[in-house]
Amino acid sequence: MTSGAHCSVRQLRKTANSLRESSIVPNHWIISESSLDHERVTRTRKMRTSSIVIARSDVVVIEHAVVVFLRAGDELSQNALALIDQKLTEQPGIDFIYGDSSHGRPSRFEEVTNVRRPGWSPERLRSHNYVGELVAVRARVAASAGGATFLSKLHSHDRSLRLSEHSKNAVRIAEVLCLSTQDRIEPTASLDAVTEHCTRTGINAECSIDENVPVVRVNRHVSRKPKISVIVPTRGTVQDIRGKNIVMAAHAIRSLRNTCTYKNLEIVAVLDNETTQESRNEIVNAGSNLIKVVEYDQEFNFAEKVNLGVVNSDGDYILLLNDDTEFISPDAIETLMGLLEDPEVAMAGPMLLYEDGLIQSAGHILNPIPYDLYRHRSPQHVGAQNMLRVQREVSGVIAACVLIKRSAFLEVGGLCTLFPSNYNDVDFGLKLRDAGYRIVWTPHAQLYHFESKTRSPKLRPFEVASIGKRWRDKLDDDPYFNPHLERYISVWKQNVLGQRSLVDALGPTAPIASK
Amino acid sequence: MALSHDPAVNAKLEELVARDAEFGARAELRVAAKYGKDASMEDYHFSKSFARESQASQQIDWVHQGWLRPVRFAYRHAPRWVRFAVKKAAS
Repeated sequence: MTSGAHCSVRQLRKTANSLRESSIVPNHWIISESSLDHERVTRTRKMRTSSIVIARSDVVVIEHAVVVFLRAGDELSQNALALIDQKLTEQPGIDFIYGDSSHGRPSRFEEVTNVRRPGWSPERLRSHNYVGELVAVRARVAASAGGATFLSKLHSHDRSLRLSEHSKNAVRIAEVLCLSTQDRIEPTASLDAVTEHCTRTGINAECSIDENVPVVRVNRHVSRKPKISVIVPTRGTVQDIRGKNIVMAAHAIRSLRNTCTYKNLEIVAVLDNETTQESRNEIVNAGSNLIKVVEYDQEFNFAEKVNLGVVNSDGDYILLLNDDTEFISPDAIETLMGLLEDPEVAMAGPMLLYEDGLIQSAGHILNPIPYDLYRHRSPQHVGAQNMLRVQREVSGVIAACVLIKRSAFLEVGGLCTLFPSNYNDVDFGLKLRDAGYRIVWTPHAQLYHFESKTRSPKLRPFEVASIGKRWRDKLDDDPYFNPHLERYISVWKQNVLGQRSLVDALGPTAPIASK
Repeated sequence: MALSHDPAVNAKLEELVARDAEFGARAELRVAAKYGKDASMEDYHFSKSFARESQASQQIDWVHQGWLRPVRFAYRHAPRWVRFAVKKAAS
C-alpha cells in the first residue's frame, strides 16, 4: 500500500522496481491518490508482464491478506516479504510487524546508515514513530483501524498509532526491511496524532511537542493521589556532597519533602544497628511526622532492607529511594505515577544524573550484561533516534529511585535477597517482565544520584553466577536491544563488525583505555 | 531469618521469599533447559566493578598505542584515495 500523493514518477518507479525484485512478489500493489502521471510507472511493459496487480483507491482488502505500508520512493528490501511471511507463519498470532531500515545511498566512500529499532514499545510509540515508515499488518487490523486506503493517506505516526490500537501482538524483525531515500533517520512525530490517540484510548493526558526534537510528551494527569510509601534503606552515612558533610538519608528525605509537590507520603527509614544516634536524630527530624523508623539487625543486604521496609508500610504505591539521591524535578512523582496509570506498567523510573550533571542512568539495557544506557554522557545529548527524550519501555531501571505498584511488588516476591548488593534491581525488573508487566523509563522526572557513595561498588562473583543462573536467556535476548548493535557498551551504536563486538573479536586482552 | 520481632512482619517477609523462589525456580528451569545445567557465565565480559570510572562504556583505544604511531602517521599523510581504500577494506 503506497500513497501516491505528492510523489514523483521517479520515486514511484524505485518502489515499483523493488516490488518486482522482491523474493516474494506481492499479489497487489495499491496506490492511493495516484495521478495520471503515475501510469508511466504502472503501465510499463515490465509491470504489466509481472504478476503484481495494480489497484487504486477504495480497494477492499481480503481478510487473510497482509497489508504492507510502504512510502513512495522507499524500496522494499529483497527478502523483506519473505521475512514477514516467515514470522507470520511461525507465530500466527502476530498482527503487526515492523523492522529496521536503511537510509542514504551507498557510495564508494560512504556506507548506508542502518536504523536499528528496539522491540515493541507502546509507550515510546506515543512519543514518536519509532517503528518507521514500513509497517506490515494483518488486513483485519487495517480494516478495523479505518481501512488501508484511509490509513495510507495519514501521517506515518498517526497510522502507526491507529494500527497499534487494533493490534494484539506486535513484533519487530531485527533485519533491514526497507531501503529509505530519506536522509533523516530520526523518527517523526505528530502532536495531533498523539492527542487524537489519547482521546480514542481514554488516556487523560496533556500532550506537547518538544521544542528541539520531533518528540511528543504525553503528560498523564494522575486521576487520584493515593498514599505512597517511600522506602529509604540507610546506614545513616555521613558524606561530602558539594563540599558539605551531610547525613545522606536526611538530605534525600529533605529534598523529597521540599522539592516534590506530591504530599501524600509515608516515609519508612530502614536503619542499621550501626547507625549513630546523631544520624538517627537528623533522619527523624528530616522526616518529621511522616517518618517511621524500622530497625534492621542483620548483615548488610539491600534487598532484605527494602523488603523489610515494604512490609512495614501500607501505601498503594512504593517509592524505593536510596539515601544518596536528591530530587531535581518538582513533579517527578506525579510523572512516574502517571505512567503507572497504565494497568500493564508496574514500575517507572526517572533519569538519574551524577553530581556533576552527567547521566548516570537512562534505563537498563542488557547487551548481554546489564548496562546503564548513556552513562557518563551529557543530558543535553538526545541519544540515538532521540531515545533520551522519550518515555520508553526498558528491561529494568536502577532501584535508586523507582515507583512500583505494591500489588506487583508483592506478586513477584519483592527484591531477591540472593543479591545483597548488586543486581537486585535487574533481577526485580526481569521478574516483573516475566509476570507480564512492562517497565517504563522517563526523561521528564530527574534526580541526582550520588552513586555508591554509601557502599562498596564491587561486583561479586556469586552475584554474576546467580544472575546468569536465573536470567541468562533474558540477558541474551533483551527485547529493547537490537542484535545488530554493539554489545558491552552503554550507547546505542550499530555494530560495524557484524554480530561480534570488538571485545568479542579481540578477546579480553584487548587494550582498554585508562582514564 | 529473624529480622523482626513481630511475627506478622516475619510471615510477610517469608511469603515474599517464597514468591521470589517460585519465580527463580521457574526461570532457572528455563535457563537450564536452554543452556544446560552446568552452564556458566565465564564467557561473558563482566566489568570488575561498578565504580564510576569503570562501569561506563569500555572504550577500546587501540589507535593511540605507541607502536601504532608510525603507522598512523603514514596513514594520515597518505593520499585521499589510499585512506578511503584502507577504510573500505577495513570495514
